[in-house]
Amino acid sequence: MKEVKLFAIILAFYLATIPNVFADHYYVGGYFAVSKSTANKKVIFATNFPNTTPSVIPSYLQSVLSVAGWYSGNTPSAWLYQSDIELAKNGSVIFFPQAYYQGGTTPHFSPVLVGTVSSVMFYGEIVVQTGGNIFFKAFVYNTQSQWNSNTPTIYTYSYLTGDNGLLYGTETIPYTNLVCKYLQCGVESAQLISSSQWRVFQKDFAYYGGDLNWHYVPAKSVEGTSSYITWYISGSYLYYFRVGGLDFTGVTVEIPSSDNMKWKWNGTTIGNDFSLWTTSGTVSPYPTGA
Amino acid sequence: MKRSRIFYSTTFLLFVLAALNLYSFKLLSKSESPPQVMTVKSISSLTPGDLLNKTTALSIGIKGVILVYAPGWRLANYTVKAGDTLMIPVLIQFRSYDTSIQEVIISLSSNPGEIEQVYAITDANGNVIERQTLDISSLESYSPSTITLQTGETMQVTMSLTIPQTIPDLAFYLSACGVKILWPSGVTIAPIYDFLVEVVIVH
Repeated sequence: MKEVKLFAIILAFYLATIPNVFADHYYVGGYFAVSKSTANKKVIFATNFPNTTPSVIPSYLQSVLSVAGWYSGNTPSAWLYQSDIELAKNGSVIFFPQAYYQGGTTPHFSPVLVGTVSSVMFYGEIVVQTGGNIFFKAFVYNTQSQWNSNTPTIYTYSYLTGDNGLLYGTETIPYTNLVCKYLQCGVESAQLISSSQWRVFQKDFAYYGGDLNWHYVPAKSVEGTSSYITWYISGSYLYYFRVGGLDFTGVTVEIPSSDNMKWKWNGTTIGNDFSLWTTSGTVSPYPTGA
Repeated sequence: MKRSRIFYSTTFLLFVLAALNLYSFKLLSKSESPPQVMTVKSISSLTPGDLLNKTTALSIGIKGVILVYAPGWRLANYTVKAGDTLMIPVLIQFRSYDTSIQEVIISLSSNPGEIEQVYAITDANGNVIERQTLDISSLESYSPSTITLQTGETMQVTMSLTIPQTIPDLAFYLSACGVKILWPSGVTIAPIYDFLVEVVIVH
């Protein structure tokens, strides 16, 4: 028995030392700093890239909504869902929904070019439907005219994972003192973009409630080394996952009002657990039918 | 007599021991021992660049990509009359990351509901009185609709969009969708849709 345990520990150590083909990404975001709870099956955010010169971006600048799924008993299922709006160096904007199970992925969706750096607004919504189908929707307003008449182009993709819901809020990961933040909204990049010529604006970061309203609650900041978002236990193994993995140093945030975040580089790192807003409220995402 | 006493007392003892074993097993299985190995993993969100990188793509089981694109990626001002069909030339390229996959057969047929366009019905004063949704993916089709590509090969196809007569004047940006891998089966070859066309519907 002792030998088996020793072998398991050595095997786990070996697996942990295998080089990761995916380099960690720089990440900073916001999370709802309340106790863990369940969303009424959907979460949303809106984003755009104001006053941004795309050529300062080495490859991609990602505006990401990340949420943990649950299968039963509000325990994380180890599924992580991301609505990812990515600005490329050439000024194109890609919608790339993603689903990860136990930290791994085979892309279940295709990246689709949906807009440009000048597009007015992108909404990303993640919805769990009965039966465990996860829907990823992007509502894209490419022109001011589309915005004024509220006539977005809508992209919809789905994937069957079996999850029954989505989580928000925080919880301490069992047997650790690490805080899991189940719903996060932030910016991510493979490179540290130390230029003041980019902005990522995010708003309407919200979960859907049992009262059929979209809600925001008090939020705090989180950096990539602390952005734990889901976990699972298998036998004597505890696995936990974070978004990005590296702190997005030099990036700070302006909060024009509650539930609005304007991320930018100015050399000052926002750090962890900076209070973004302390109020709760409801929002009305612009797209009809969201 | 002595023999049977020994038999019964041994049987009784074994029974007691078995009961004790069962009880202790139950206790043990109820107790939660903390995990002995804790592993953290960072999740770096994928980008199209990851799919275009052979090493990265192979590490997540992607054996190749189908690139759907147009030179310059952004095509401006394709104007079409409501009721007519818009024709857009599109390039399709296959890049294999696996030497055992030299050829791919794909069908180009959109999935209903993947791309929709909301449009507004207005009154005489221009006020929006109703919004309706046009299922772009069901109007999008390709010619040819099935193609065979060797690795590295690029083929031009025509994407058609038939606009219903009933749609009011409208301008929107359109992407592609609907690449399905017919052969080889059982491998992941990822489509990347990399162009945007500005469509203007007039009457």
